[in-house]
Amino acid sequence: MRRVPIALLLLALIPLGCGKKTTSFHHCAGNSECSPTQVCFPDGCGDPTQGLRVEVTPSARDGLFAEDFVIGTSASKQDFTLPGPSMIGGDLSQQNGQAVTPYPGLVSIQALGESTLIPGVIRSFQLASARGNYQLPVASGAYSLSVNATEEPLPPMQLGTRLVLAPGDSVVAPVVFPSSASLSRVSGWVLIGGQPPGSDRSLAVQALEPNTQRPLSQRAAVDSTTGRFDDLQVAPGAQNVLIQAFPVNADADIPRQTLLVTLPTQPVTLELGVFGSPVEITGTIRTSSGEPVAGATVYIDGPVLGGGTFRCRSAVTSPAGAFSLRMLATPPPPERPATLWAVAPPESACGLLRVGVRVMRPGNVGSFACPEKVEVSGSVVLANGAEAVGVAVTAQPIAAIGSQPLPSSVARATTDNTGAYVLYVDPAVYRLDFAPRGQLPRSSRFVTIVGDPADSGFKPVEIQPVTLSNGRRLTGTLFFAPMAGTNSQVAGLASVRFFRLSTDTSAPASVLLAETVSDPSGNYSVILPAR
Amino acid sequence: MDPVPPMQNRPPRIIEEQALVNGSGDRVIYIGNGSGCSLDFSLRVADPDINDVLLVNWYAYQRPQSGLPIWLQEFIQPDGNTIRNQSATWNVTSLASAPFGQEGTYVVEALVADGSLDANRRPEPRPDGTTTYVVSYAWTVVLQTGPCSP
Repeated sequence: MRRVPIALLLLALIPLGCGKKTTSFHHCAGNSECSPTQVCFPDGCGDPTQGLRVEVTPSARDGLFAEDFVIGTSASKQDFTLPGPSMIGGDLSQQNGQAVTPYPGLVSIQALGESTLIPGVIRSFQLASARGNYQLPVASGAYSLSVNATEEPLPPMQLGTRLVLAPGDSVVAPVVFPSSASLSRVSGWVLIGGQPPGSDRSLAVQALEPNTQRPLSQRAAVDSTTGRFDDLQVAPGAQNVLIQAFPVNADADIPRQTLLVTLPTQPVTLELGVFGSPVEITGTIRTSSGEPVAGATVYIDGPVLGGGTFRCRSAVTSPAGAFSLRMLATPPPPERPATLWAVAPPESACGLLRVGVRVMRPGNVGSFACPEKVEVSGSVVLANGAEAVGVAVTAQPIAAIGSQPLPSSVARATTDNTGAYVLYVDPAVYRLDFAPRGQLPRSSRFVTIVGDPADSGFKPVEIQPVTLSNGRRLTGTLFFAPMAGTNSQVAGLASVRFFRLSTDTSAPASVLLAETVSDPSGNYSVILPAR
Repeated sequence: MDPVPPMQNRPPRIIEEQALVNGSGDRVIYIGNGSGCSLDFSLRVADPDINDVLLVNWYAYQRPQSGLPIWLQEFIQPDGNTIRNQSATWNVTSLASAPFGQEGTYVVEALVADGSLDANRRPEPRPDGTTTYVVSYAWTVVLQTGPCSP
């Protein structure tokens, strides 16, 4: 056999890495980096039998929401007994002088929170209308409750205490609206160039908390013929509030304007300025090599003439990359320009485009080149070192980097016959999920993709290979807890998801390990990571 | 005796008991577009033809129009079960940017097909001429400017 000199081999290999930046996962890449009993998880090596969190959702359609459990087991069988729905409820009342009297009006209620056992799993539940008292079924978790009176302009209420519910818990959370006398009231005018808005312009105002933009009042209508608004009822205790004027129809060609006021205040005037008529503009989105980008969502957002801000209705680019927008004119320098955003479909190599534009008159505003996404390549191998073929790879953006916005799209790929994959993503922190076919568990890793600028976009990134774990099968049966005088019933067609807590501070605090649906007999079976 | 005719392709199904948004079975969701607000859509799908690969396309739009972008496309691989273990999920981590952002009412729609879809979202026959099917599930998202909880 002819021998090739090592120096020649090295020379031949050099071009392979040319221009590619290599990057590593936040922690380990495979089990070989862990002790013999541990598995490589996204946040590092850990015991695969401990710290498992399980979410069981019997039937969301029927109001039987998720119930969470902690298990630590190396056994191959684990049953779950579901205590029953968790419930938040209470009476609706209002402070009335020294007394508290029943509140007779209709309210809507929203519970927003997350699982306490599986942090990062967001949960929200709402009740469209209740009168006198309420009962809101929820999943187990920790919630903040907000209540809106829908028949009168009382300010929205946020319950001060966080409500924590274990599976089957019922929590009593009475709602007491403040007395009418304790509310601050704001009135005033909204004008356009010193004139009332006019009958063809429907406007509303609302008081907001200046830092969080949390509503401190309901929305109040502006009289279009006089510009007058009255009786904006603001929650007691608020001192500095932002009064915002905006169109009732979000598609209307009217800007938003805000005014910071200190309560109590004399009647206020919000001046939207002379913002003029909208102008029709056109343009094109293309790649850095000049190819048109079809299916991109384009819009413009920012300051407009008169001093307000406006976001135009978005448009989708044609196959030729063309878009047409209806936008209000933007102010000349030295005012900052508005921002044109273009978000291409996930499969496009076109990255997020964010560029300053000035809209002065109708017509073509030009052709905009989007930056290329970062080409991320890597490979997946099985625990025995063989190539992992047909693994579904998903890049889920989980945190933004610096001033870059958090990407809104998820990138997907499948490994080829050599176990290799290629993804195209915008710079961000990602969780890469690897879902193999067959009887192997899914694996996840965290990775930060930094956009290292190149001539046209970013340099390609090569990620270290990931090694999949072996798996172990866990089976069991789901039961509803027996009601008085009845036997346990099985929970069929229930969703079952297994999670592991993550200690990576830059990422969500739990990672999905396995999921399935129970059969009609309540039996489930999943494959969990193992050594 | 005549041979038994070949089995026809059967449509996939969405398990409505497990159609979730942020853990709830609500079809209408009221939410703000502020920092940290997110939507986690999840579907379970079934197909009596256990060897079929299922395509799931996710859309979000305010007005139906041709050429709507697919915001997420995923494939549910066969796993030997009628009801697939893998859920179809779309985790929208930012409601401040496309396809959301502007205050208003949106439709979020998942199309589940046992074949491919043409540009008008209609199922295309397989190369052997087999008819394929598409089923859908939709939520209404009412987006307001401000924090997550109105």
